Amino acid sequence: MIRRQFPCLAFYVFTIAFGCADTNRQTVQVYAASSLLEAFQDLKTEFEGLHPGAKISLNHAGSQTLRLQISRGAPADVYASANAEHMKALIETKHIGEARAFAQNRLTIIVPDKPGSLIRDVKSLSRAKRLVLGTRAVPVGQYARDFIERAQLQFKDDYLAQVDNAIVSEESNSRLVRSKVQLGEADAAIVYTSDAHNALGIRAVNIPNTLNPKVTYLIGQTPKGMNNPTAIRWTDFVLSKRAQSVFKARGFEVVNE
Amino acid sequence: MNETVSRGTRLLSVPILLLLGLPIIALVMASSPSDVLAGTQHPLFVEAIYLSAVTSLISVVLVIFLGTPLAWWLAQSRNGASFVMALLVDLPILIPPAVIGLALLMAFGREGLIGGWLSKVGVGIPFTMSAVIIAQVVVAAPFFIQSAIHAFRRVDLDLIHVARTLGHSERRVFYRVVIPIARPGLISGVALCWARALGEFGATLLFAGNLSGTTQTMPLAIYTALESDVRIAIALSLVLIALAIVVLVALRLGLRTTEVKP
Repeated sequence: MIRRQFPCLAFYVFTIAFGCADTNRQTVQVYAASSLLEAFQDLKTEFEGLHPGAKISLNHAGSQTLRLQISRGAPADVYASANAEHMKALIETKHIGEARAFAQNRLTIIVPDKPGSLIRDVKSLSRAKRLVLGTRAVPVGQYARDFIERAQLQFKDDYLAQVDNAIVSEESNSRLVRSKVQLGEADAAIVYTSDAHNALGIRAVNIPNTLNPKVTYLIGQTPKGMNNPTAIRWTDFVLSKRAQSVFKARGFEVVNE
Repeated sequence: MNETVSRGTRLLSVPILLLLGLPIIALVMASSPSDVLAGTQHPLFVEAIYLSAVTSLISVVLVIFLGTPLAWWLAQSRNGASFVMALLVDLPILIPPAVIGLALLMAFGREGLIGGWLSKVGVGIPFTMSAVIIAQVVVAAPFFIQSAIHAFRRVDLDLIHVARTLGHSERRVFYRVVIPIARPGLISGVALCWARALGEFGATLLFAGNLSGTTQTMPLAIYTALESDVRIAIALSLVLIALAIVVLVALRLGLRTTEVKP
């Protein structure tokens, strides 16, 4: 009877064996905001070079998506969020220990990199016909609405109404927002300055600091991560001076000491 | 009739039934009637259910009218050309919906193959309800067309020949002989097609966008709600599932009563 069942048993054994590979102490499951993609990939390469045997596994999505996953028991070791709200929510439910700031960012308006765009500054944003933002739950969407409200206070009239009317879609992370402009579908979008850094097909339109909300990235560990020495080393690495120069190179601002 | 099914067969069927049923039972248990009521009062809800109903209905009607001639053709021919066409029909089932959304953008986007021309005359498809319908038609049509081909193939060719020799035109034969016999298969094709259109998410998100009232169908609303309030998402999910069950049951019962007895 074992003979006939062997293929089935072998299959189960393999599956379980592969499943167990996940509990390797040298692997770190990092859940990070989409806007951190390239910066974290750079850091991953450096870190794995400095610590042979370590493996950083990156899972990027909107901070709100990651928060949902972690609150539902996803096996994250480290969480890097683009705003304090989602991080605080997880700290309150004890899914994250404590968090520290590791990078900062600003918003920028982006338009397709073609001649003929009517949008040259914050005021002319109201001339856009197809504007794409993040959803209300994703940090890049929340910051964008914060900025638009500040702009409304400055320009008054029906700036807010015009901008609101121009919104044609709300995406769940900053990279999807950016892609709509890159594909030529949107006239304008609001993303992070780092998203516009070295990106193809788009041009950045500056938002002055007076209207520009300060974006702070926070990093924290889950209880699982706190038991993982490699995860602790990774977190320290992200907070290090070396990492700061990587973030700068990718268009982020550094955290004020 | 139940005596013909062995106990072994029934036992082997349990795992898949559990896999299909447990998630739904879990959803029901995660919610409550008051939660569902609160969900239906959420501003996203009314817009989403209305949009889902309208777009899926239009999509299904379009699929029936656009797909039936092709299904009739493919049911009868077996040459190289019909092989390629049948392949084309099957393709959207195998391609991930997000890829279909991307491909639709490439074709109908503002800088797309056809879309480029359209935008020059002021017609923009992405971010409109039309885009939602196009996405639904593309992903759902294969389900109807495949069912229709099978249904048409089961019509006895002799019946058609007899009707023709009796002097009826091809069109009359189609409506009076072919359709009545093929009806059960056609109806289940419509049911599958409608269910697929209702559940469409990836292609819609990429091609049509996500805006409440214009393009945010129920699946998109659920996804968006998930990121702010999970209870609302669960409530909306239950409403969608209930809706799907009602329509599927209605179509199946309709199927029973229209079966042609030999």
